Amino acid sequence: MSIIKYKWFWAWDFNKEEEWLNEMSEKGLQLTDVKAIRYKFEEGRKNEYTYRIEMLDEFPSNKKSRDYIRFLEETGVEMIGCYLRWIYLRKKKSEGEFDLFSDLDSRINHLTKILYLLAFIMPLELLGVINLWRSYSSVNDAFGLIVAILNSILAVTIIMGGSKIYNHRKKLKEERCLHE
Amino acid sequence: MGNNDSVALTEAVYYILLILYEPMHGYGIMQKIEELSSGRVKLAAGTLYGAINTMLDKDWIQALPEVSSSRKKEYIITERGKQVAASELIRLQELVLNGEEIIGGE
Repeated sequence: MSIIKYKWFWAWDFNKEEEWLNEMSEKGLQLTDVKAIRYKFEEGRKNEYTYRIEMLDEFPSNKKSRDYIRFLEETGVEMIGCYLRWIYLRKKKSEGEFDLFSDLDSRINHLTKILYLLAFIMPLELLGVINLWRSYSSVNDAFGLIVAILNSILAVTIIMGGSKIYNHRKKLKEERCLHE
Repeated sequence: MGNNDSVALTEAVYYILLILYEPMHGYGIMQKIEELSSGRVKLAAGTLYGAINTMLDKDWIQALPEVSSSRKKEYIITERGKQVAASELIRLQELVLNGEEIIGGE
C-alpha cells in the first residue's frame, strides 16, 4: 500500500530531510517517488534502505549529471526521484553503509553549492521586497501590505538559512586544517 | 614552482592510485579500499567520483575504452600516476621514519 505525505523542507535543512526519510525507512515506509513537497512511500520491510539526497551542479537531465548518476548506480545506488537540482537516492542496507561523501573536502563542496544557490536567489528576493514596499507606499492597499510582509519574512528566512550553511561550512573548513 | 603535484595526496587518492595498478571499476575501488585498510577507510561514492574526475583531468589515471555500454567503466593508472604514487610513498616513508624515531615504533 502506498502512502502520500506532504512536507516542506528548506534547502539548508537537507540533513533533516534525509533524517526524516531514514526514520520513515525504520518504520518500514520506503520512499518511491518525490515531487517537490509530495513524498510517496510504499510499505515495505523495516530498515530496508538508507536514503541520501544531494544537490548537483547541473539539472539531473544534463549529461554531466547523468554520468554521475550512472556511476552511483554502478555502486548499488538507486535514484528514486529528483526535484530541480536535487536527487533522491537510496541503497539497500544489506549492501553496506551508504554515504555520498567520506571526506571533509567533498562535504565542503556540497555546502558551497547550496550557498552559491542561495547567494544567487538572495539579491533577487531583496529586490522584490524593496519593490513591494515601494509599491505599497504609493498604493497603500491591504493586499500589497500582506505580500510585502510575507516576502520580507521569506527574505529573512533565506538569510538565516544561508548563514546556517555558512557556519556549518566554516566549521568543516576549520576541521580541514587538522585532517581530511 | 607552479606544481601542486608535490603536495601530500589525500588518503583516498593515494589508495585509488595503488588500486589502479590493475584495471578496476568504481565499485571495485570502493570495495578494495575497504579490504586493503581492513575496513578502516570507507570511500563514499560521491567523494570517489570527484577524485576520479580530478585524477582523469590530471592524467594520473585513464578510463579504459568501454567494451559495451552495459559494462561498468574501468580505470587504470598512467605513467604519470605511477610517478605520483612513487613520490608519495617516499614522503610517507619519511613521515613514518621520523615518527618512529621520536614516538618510538616497535
